[in-house]
Amino acid sequence: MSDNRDPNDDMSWLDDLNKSAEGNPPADNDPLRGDDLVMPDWDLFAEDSSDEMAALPADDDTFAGLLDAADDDDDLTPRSADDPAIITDEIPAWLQASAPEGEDSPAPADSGLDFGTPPAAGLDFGVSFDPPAPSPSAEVPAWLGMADAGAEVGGDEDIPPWLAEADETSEEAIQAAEAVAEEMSTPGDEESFLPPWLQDADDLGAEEANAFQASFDDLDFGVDEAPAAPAPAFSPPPAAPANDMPDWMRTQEQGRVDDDLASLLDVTAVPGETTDPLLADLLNSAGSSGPDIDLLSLLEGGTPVQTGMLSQQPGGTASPADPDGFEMPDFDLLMGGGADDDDVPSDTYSPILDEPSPEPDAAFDFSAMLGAAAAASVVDDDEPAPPAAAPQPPPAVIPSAAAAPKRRDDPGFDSFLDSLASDDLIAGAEDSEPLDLEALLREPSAPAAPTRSRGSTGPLEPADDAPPLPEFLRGVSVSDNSAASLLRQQQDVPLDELPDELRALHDELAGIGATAAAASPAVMPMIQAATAPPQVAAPVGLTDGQRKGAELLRNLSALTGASVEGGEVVAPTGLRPRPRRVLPVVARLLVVALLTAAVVLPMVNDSDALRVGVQPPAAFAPSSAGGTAYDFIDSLSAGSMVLISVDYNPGSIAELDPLVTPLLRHLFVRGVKPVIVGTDPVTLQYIGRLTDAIGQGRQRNVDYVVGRFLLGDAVGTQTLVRDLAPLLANDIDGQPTGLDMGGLDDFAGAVILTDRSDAVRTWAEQVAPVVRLPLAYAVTAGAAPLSDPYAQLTGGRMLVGLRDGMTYTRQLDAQYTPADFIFVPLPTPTPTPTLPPTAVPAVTEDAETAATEEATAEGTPTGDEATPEADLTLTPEAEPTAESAGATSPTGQFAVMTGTTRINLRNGPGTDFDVITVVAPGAQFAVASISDDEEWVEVILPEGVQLWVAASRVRLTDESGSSAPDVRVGAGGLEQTSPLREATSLERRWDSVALGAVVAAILIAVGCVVGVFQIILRRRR
Amino acid sequence: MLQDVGLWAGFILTLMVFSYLLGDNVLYRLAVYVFVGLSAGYIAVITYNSVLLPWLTETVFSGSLFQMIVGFIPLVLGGLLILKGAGPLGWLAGLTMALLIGVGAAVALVGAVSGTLIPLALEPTRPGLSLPDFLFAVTGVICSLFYFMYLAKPMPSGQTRRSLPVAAMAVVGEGVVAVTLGTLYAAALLSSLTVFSERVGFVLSRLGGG
Repeated sequence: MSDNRDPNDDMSWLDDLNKSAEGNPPADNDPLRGDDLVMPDWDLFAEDSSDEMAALPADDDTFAGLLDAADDDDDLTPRSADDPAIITDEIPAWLQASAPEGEDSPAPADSGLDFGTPPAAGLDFGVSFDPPAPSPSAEVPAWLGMADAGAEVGGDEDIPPWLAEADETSEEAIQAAEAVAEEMSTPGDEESFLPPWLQDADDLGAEEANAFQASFDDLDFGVDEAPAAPAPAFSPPPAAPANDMPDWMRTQEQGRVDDDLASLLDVTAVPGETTDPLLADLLNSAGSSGPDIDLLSLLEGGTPVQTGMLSQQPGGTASPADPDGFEMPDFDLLMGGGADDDDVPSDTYSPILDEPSPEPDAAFDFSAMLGAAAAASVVDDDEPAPPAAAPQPPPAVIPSAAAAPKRRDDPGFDSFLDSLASDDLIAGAEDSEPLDLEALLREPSAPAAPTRSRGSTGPLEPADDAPPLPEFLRGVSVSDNSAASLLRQQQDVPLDELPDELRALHDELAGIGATAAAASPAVMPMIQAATAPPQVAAPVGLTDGQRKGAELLRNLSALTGASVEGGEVVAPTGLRPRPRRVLPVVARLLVVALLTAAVVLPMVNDSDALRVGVQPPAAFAPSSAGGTAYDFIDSLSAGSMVLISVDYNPGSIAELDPLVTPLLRHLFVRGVKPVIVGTDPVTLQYIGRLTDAIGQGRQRNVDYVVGRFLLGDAVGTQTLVRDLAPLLANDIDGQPTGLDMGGLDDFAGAVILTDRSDAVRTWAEQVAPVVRLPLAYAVTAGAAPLSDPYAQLTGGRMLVGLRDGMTYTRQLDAQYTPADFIFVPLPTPTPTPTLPPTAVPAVTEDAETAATEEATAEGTPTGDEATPEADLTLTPEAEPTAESAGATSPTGQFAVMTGTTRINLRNGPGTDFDVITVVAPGAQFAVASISDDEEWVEVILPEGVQLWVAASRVRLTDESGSSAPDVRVGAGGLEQTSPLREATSLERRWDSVALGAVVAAILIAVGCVVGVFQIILRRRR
Repeated sequence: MLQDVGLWAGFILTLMVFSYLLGDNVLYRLAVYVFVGLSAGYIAVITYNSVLLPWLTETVFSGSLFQMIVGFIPLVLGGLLILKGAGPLGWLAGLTMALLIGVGAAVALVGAVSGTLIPLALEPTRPGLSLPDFLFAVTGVICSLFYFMYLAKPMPSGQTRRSLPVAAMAVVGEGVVAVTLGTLYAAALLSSLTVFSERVGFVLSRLGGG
């Protein structure tokens, strides 16, 4: 009788099946050996045993195979039925008792037991079952003998008598099996060996059976990639009454796939199949942090996993490591298998397992399901108590329970254990009191196992010598103490109720996660890679376990503040790029608006309130860099040549034009021939056009040369020094220049126009040391600070930006009259006059007007009268001469320019004609003619040039104005006006720059103050 | 007429460039691309007319064998640059690059010595040199060198430590560097405002007509 067997040794008989009594190694296909999990074959329930057995493949690890192995003389030493050892020692009592009954015992197929399970790794049956009841007195169950009947044996002498008898009477056995199959339809007979919930199996209709099968089909055992074992035809499993069927089975029957810890554990514990290494490492690392890890935040995502707790045994003993390195709890101890484990004291499990479940309906009592495998049989309170004399059901999960201690590292076993943690198991635990895991883990060893009277279904009674049962274990059912339930309970503990240690660790984890996510971008790709949809060649579906793993990673990433949306890891809010704030944009636009207003207002308003600072001086200081440069140009003799190097980009034209224009005018008025080269072809081309405009009447390659541009920086300049003649042989348009230069020393000087200090340095380094060529520089304001030292080393002649350009213009116009700029072809080079080097008058509007009036009154130029230009220069009010006939008004009318902006003068009556020059409002010219449509007026410029202006822009008068016309052709740049108006225009521009600089300085100061305050506030925080 | 078109094109392009004040946009990019494209095309033509064609005329097509050989040398070297991405023959492009870099470095080095170092070394001997200015310049240079962590002892912690005199000079050097950078920034700002004022004046003139 099963009541007499050793509760701790109830599986030993099956262990013996794993080994040969004579030392022979077990067969390879031994279902109890290796990593294969032996599970019942539900399909064999209610099926004819012989047919089902025959349908199984030979290498199938079914229970038939087990039986074959038992019969095989190579694997199992035949024993005589008379051998008392077999009967009394090795065969459990219930098995012994079943032997004599022989054919009367139900066939294994009829009993629904088939422990054969395909050896697929990771197989996860989330089910268990109750085994058939043993025959009360037989040595071998009749069904065992019947199964053996069909097997071939080596010889009669090797077959135990009871097996030989079965073999000899195989036909009888078959008949007996058929009879038993018929008897299976009789409910009354089933009750002798079937559990209550299986007794009405035959009552289950085909439809219900199919639904039952479908419920299992819906289960995901985490072996999607594993080859599926050939599934036998389904036969209706024994259905239990609704009250008797476990909750978990009812749940499965409803087709609901439980998402619980088991699935996750399946993924993490099964090696090689579905376990993601990253996930395993992650879990392992999390678990290594000890049992104090509180993953409540993690569990908030709905995954009842607490890896830290999983790595710890209830008794504080480290659990054996999973083959993949992931430590799993020793579930064997929880289920009683630990009784046979030499490494673990047997008293480390019982306090949890032996506690009766207070709510058996809510929590499935898998201890009863395990039957005799448990150290103490616990009968659910709600289950009808079996009669005292009724035999205890045989171990339903005999193979697994027996082999569990020896195969604790078996991933299949872990999978099976994982399957036990169904939601229903967990659900029962949710109503229990929160588990004090801290107290449990602090306990060095669990208290002695409580005891209970055999057959008693009452609560556990602590042993006399055992310490008192912990409070947290009182009233806790067995199922409550499953791993899943432990986790679920831990999950249900609110954060504020956690012990300080766990709460501190939780906070620390959250902080570490956020810091890691912020500091280590490598973490995010890992999480992203782990949570991204799997990139597989073949369509492989995610198992529940894999999905749970992904969910776990999502929750872990949530600890770092990150989130997973659509497979993409989204950085936490703190790490996301800050959305574009409105304030900086507004601030930038405000700065631009202020600067623009500061620049525009002086141009459109002549109010003195908008003029800040002082205007540039009317003349250079004698010893200043600008004065030195001016004197250098002014000292050049007529007919000499000056090399002008244009080394700035078009962006600096606007700044350097006010400087280049008077410089070229000065060269022309001095009769100097400029030879222009450059390193920027675009700017060089522009300077060529500018020179064309300034030197009206002068011819390229005769009066000036616009040469080639220089390739390379220092090397190009060196080429200019070493091999000048080829470079100047052709101009920029490829036309011959006619120059025959032996070297740079043939030039009277060189002027470098640049916006880069490097250009100044290059000339100072590459040219100045090897030639005696005087160098002068005209640079932008931005390049001036770094150019000044090199300029000082090479003569100190430097002009800077708009300021020096205005001074240059004023000094030049004060020194020379408008007539001086009129070009007269020189028949032969003649000595140029020299002007007094000093006593340059300050130029003002009144002075300029007075000088002009004086010149007009005299009718002669103010320059050196010995110059050829003296005889050719005209003034508008001068008496008409051959050259200045146009200065008079043939019509007797004069045109006064009107409006507020400069007016174009064209070379024809229409806008299709080119603009030759522009004049400022107020200028007055003699009218030569009026177009037929009276829309255009032809005016006579002082130089005698006749141009056309729109009639709408002039006012005709019969009298000449008091002031002389203030426009000269060729006296300025592309947009030339009179010296007076040019100065005025430049003055306005200077006022704009000055006011803009002041506003910019204020804005910079405000920005600095704001920045300082921000730093102070940040430091205070 | 053609000039008016050019002026109005310049006006529109100026506004397109100014649109960058509102952020990077297609108008700004279009204006920049137009300028870059036109510049590149123009430079290519100018290079051919101003550099390549004269060189070929003077050397290869001069009729002189020596000039032809001389004229082909840069052509061959330039052709080797094409092989830079030709795999096994890519090393041939290194010959040209070595020549360019070597000559450039040599020219720059010689120029720096002869044009900068020697004149600076002789600066104290220049007649009329202001001694206070000279001392100020020398002190500023030395202190600036101290500021850039020279003569600082590295500590095991990775930090550096200076002695008190060196630290004091470094503070002075830091001030010199700050003044220098501030000057450069102010000069650059002045240049920008000058250019901006010209463009604003141009826009206003366009808007004002004439």
